[in-house]
Amino acid sequence: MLFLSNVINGLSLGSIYAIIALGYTMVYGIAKMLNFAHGDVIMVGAYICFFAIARFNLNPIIGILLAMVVCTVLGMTIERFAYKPLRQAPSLAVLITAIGMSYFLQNMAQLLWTPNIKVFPSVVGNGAIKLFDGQLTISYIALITMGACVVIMLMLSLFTGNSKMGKAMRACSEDKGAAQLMGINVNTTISMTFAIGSALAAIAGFLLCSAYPNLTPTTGSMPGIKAFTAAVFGGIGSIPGAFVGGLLLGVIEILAAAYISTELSDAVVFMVLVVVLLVKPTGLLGKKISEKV
Amino acid sequence: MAMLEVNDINVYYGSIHAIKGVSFEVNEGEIISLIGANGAGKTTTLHTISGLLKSTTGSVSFMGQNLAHVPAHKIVSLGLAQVPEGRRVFLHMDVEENLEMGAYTQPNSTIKDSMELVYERFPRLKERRHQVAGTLSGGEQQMLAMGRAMMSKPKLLMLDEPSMGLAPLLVEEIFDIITTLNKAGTTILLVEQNAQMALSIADRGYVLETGQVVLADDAKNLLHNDSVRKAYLGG
Repeated sequence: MLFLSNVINGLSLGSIYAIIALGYTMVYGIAKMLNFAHGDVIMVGAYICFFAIARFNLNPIIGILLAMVVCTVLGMTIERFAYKPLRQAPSLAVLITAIGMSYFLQNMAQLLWTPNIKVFPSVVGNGAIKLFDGQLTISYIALITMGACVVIMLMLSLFTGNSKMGKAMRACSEDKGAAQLMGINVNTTISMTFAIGSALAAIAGFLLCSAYPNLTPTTGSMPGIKAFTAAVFGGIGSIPGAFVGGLLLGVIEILAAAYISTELSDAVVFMVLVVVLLVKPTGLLGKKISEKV
Repeated sequence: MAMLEVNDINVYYGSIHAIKGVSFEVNEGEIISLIGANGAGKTTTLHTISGLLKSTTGSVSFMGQNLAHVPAHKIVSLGLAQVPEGRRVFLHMDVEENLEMGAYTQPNSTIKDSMELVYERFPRLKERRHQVAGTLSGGEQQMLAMGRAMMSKPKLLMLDEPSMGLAPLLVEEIFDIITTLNKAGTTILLVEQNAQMALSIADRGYVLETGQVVLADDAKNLLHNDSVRKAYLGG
């Protein structure tokens, strides 16, 4: 029963990773860049939620929506002013810019909101459902997190599979030149991808801080790196890959902490990543269809 | 006035001067062939017309409109479509989705009818409409690339080496379809290394060499031109 409870904790943590990883993987799929500032957009989202809910006593739903709007604008602005001018630049330049942007956001947050820990309000409460005569408890926040992850995943699949914009995104991720020849505006599509990824980051920020309520300007960086790992694990560029990768990473991390050692849990996570990449370099669900000539 | 007028364009890749003052024109209803060896600048020329590359001088105008400041994604809706070299179909998308992408600039209500037209022209695509493009054969991918371009209802269709890597029988099939499309009212600009085939269906032709037009004539004359025969038709 303890094992089951650990697995559920892992799935809940993994759901947060998965939501963040979706942002990484979508941006990578289309812009072919690693947006290392993504984790810090989560932090900004969490702060907006914090101020909206704890300081201005707004309804939590409104707080989350507000955070989504702010993060969407932030993500699109970052893309427009930091990454777009580098569209033709070597990928190393873009990578360094992304890391720079990450530090910029963290320092900006320190300046605006001080480095002191803010305790995120407990919106969902400490309630839990008890199963098997109380032997297995699942907190409401864990349930909400997993539910949110599944809903987001389904909506994104529908969006990329059926909508015109979603299909255009897939076309851009395969071949930008050919997409332009179809009349698809590649710049708008990339901007749209950042918007969606950043809105998801806001949700992730809320969920993350509801589960781990200590909010600081560096709150987003470690989950950001883990989610990036999850995206690579599942096959970067693949949306189902980010989902599977995120969940697996969360479960492995919690199980490693429970049965091996808390200190080593991160090391185990990254070791599994190395093994997966050795066996399948494209990640678990990464696909590669060879081109016919 | 010609449908497409390319006037003294110069294109650079960094410091490499790829296109050196190329000019030519395509009249409505014609099939024009642009022939030349590897590296002559044929694809670069097409990409410049489509707006993927920019010329430093001169102009490209389509039906009287200067394309200099029209972004690549707006050019399709003017009625100018390209079937790119190497087909470049979306390999992870199925046949139907590829066709939908071709109709990206078209109103949703017309997509079904355009698709039926494409399927009529390429029955094989209809059989495979739910198959992922990456699993199609080279010839089928070429058909898909052509069908995809047709979805935007182009007035002028540019094809970049449609015969590349295809078996002779398939090449003939593809060229038959090009002639049929032309008869149905689409103007064609055809870029080819297979000069024999390209000139045999064309009205006029241009020979490109190292970024310059070195010959321009009726296709019939080019087929019998000594230097063309030596360089491109095997003597």
